Amino acid sequence: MRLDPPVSLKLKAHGDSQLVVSYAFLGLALLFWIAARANDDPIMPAIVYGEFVTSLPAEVWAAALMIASTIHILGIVINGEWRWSPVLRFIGATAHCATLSLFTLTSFAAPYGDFFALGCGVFALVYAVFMWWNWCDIRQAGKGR
Amino acid sequence: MGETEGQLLLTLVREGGIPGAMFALLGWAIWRFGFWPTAMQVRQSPGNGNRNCA
Repeated sequence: MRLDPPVSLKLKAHGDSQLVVSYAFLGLALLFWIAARANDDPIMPAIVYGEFVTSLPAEVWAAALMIASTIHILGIVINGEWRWSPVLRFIGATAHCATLSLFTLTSFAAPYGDFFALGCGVFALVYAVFMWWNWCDIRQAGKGR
Repeated sequence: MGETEGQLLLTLVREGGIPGAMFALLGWAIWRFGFWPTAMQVRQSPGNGNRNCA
């Protein structure tokens, strides 16, 4: 099967999974942001999330996840209309993977962060797979076919 | 990061500029390109037979 240049085989096969996961993260990050805004006290305790993560306000992390999700979703939605949209998807997936990996490392080192670290670790791996798929798409876009 | 830059970042984030901008961008993209990407649809045209069919 051969498709026209901007159409991604990877996205055709796995695009809905990427879309669903990123929409879920966008929704979660929005809820997280609202919760952080609604509470005057910090909602991320250092004993769960680790010292480094809690040195910044929760809103910053919620915003980071929202930005990453939006870039990723934009890349998926634009696909087929713009040749280099895989770059957007790759940037979004990389930002997610980096943030979630950071959460995994810091919360794993924290006394009560194991459960959170496990969840973040799983999704960091999911986003690492998305990075790989989108890297394949960037290579395909670069080959001009 | 200096204290002033940190405060500015925090103000921007806290006042809802970032979520607002993200949802505005997403709303525009969905309005412009559609919710479901082009590549995820099974495309068929009279000229190419059935080669693009899943």
